[in-house]
Amino acid sequence: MKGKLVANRSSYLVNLPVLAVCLILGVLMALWGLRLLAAVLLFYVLLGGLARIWGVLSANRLEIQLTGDSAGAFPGETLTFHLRVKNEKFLPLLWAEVFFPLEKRLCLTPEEMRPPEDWEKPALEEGNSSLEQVGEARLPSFLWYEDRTVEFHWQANRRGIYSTQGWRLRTGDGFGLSQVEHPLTARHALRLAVYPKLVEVSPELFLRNQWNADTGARGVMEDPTVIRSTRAYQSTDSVKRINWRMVARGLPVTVNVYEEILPRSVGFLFDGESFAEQESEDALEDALSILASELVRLEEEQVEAALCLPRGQNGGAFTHFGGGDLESLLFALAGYEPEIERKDQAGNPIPRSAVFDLPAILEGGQRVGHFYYITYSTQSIAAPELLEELGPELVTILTVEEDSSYGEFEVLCLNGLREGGGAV
Amino acid sequence: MKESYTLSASLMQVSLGGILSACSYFLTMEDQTQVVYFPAILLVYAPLVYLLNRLFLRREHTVIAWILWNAVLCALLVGSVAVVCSGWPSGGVLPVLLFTGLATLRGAQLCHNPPKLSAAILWLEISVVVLAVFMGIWATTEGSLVWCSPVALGAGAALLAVISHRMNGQMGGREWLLLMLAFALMGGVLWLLVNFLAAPTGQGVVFVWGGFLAILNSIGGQIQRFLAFLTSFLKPEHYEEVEMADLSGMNMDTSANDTMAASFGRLLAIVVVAAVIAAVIAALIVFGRIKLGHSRVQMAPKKARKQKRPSLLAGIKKMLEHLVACLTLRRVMWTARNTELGTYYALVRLCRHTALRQQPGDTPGAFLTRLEDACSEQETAEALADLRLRVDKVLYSGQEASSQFPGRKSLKQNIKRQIKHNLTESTRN
Repeated sequence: MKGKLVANRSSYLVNLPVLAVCLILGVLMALWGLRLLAAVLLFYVLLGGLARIWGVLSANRLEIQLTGDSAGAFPGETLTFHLRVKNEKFLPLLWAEVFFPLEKRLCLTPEEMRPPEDWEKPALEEGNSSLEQVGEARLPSFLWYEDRTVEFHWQANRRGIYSTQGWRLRTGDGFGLSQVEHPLTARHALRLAVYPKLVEVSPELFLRNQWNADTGARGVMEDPTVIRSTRAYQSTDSVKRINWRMVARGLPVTVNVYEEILPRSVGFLFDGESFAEQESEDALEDALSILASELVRLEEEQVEAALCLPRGQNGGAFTHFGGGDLESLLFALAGYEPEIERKDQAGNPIPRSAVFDLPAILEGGQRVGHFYYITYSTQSIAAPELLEELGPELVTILTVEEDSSYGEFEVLCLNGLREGGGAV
Repeated sequence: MKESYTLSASLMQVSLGGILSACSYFLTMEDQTQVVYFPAILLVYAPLVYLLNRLFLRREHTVIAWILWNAVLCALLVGSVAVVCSGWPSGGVLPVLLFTGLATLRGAQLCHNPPKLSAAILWLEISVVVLAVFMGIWATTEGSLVWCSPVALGAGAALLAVISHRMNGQMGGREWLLLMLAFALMGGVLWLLVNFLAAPTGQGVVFVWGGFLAILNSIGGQIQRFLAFLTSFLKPEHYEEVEMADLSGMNMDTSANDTMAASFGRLLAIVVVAAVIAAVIAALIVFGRIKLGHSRVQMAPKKARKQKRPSLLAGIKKMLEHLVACLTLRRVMWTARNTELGTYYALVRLCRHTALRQQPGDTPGAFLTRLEDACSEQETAEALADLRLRVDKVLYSGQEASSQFPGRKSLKQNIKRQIKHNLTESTRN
């Protein structure tokens, strides 16, 4: 690892032109017989030169590893990191500190923060980090070949994704005249999520369809653990289905026919774009909280949940079918932000539309019993074509605002899902 | 981050006091009868006013009360100057008021707004410039060197303020020791530079060389005397006869002989005593290590410290190990520089700071293939493919390495060019 000298945080005494001028003046003073003045100037040269060399070398052969206890937390919880620093050289580090840029909305914050200094702001702005606060932690001094692990406890405040990629280790010479800093490499960076806040919700609405078994043929899938029968192999059959035991006995090639089962499953289509037009961000956060809480409750009830999010600020559309991976669903919800408003050439805003991964939804949707389309209101639905494609039999619309109807679709109030939130 | 500014701010105030003292002297330089008390007291007053302000603001006070408190402090100092100096110094009351006011104002300000690192660095830079200026003035006017000491002290305090700020006031014994060593090293080099390298002819290196020769001569003379002393005891067999025969003819000094014998006896006694002491110490060490019988009780291991810090000896040992490993690697690479493996190692070394560097877990084949893919020149890519096959054969099929790998020099040069080209491209992008 090689450090870069930070001019803003280093003294002019380590500046090469200043050192050169001091050296020339020192030699001239010595030649003119002004020995004490020469001594002072040469002392500056030595001090600056040694500080510069020590500072530049201090970041060499320094290994940093960052590990975290978990990849996510709910608001109010604490995340713990372990920063392991190995000084693989004889030169000691008398001081070292870690600088943490924070996420714009301060979703995850260290124990102690400070407002950024002016010279730090351009880099923070470039990295899309918070300009209000930054984190900084002093590390203990590192002796020769010392290996130390430092623990940090961060507080999860609100939904969001935080990456440790902008972390920088700052160190320098023992005189404090020079500072070098080295960013944490991308391979050591962690991506951490603060999931939406959990609220008390009732999962009964989503269990209703499972009890009534009114999903028709949808959601039916094969259970590979139960073989119903075997039949002769056909060229269109998957190799995975071949009964290799029979083949091993020298019998004709046959394929397994598995028992079909109806797993308990439910799908959520979250129309985040419909919330973007609203003045308050709380509606989006509340809806995401209810959805995350329902996902947690359904996991407890062993109901498979699928989640589809439209394209947002942080990347393409998210589509996940199959269940059993609650963490990735919560991670997706933590990182979702509606797209930024776009304007046409005349400067007029382009109407928002929620861009879902339609082919994936149609393909994966075969395994889902029923879909729930979550939107702010029926007037602000941003993906009407998706609803048309799936049809009213398969989709129920959940709105934040209490709406009367939307075509033949069943419309329910999202807030009614809260525990004690009234009849659905 | 909990910052500890007290030491840093106090040292900055000492530095300010030093500069103000020097300025005060500068203003009243022509006066030969000036009193030391006033400018010197600023070195104490400036940090004291900061600390007193810190104490004052530990409780909530109004701004008026704070201003009054500082006014009282300022008035106390001015009053003490009037009393001690029996009037005002030669510059009048104005410099006293001005410098005291400045020190008070700065102390109060530092207490209200803790100093930032940039401020500490700036203050250090100001201090060193002021020190150089005052040294220049002193050198041209040939004034008293005592008057330069406050500003030198101030510059030192400013440097310590930066160090303290960087370390957040958490400096342990080791940190101080390391800093002292660094300062001692610098002091030694400076002494050499000023006294010898930059000294006039005949005083510098020549003086050192002359001194060195004198020391050598002195040691040689002492050895010669000692040998002469020892050989004086080697008496020939017929010494007595010779002695008796020549006794009448020689003017021997018997008292000198007695003195010599007595000193030899003392020397012998000292040597014997030293040998006995050494033997006792060696016996204690040896017997201390030897254990007899069986230990009945197994001592419980001491609780390990949370993070054991490496000792200096361990550090030196590791450094030497590292040095030996580096030298061995260099030797191996030099020996095998013409072979396939040598060329491969050279390429690994060439690429270690680039994006093409060998990743952990990369086989030689994987690394060379990646290099080959990244190569835009057909000729180089072919040479790399040839090298890959040869290296694989040497490493995995037990084939002996050839003494000469053809085209190794051109390959290294091409790869160097390629790396440079890639760097230029990435900079452009």
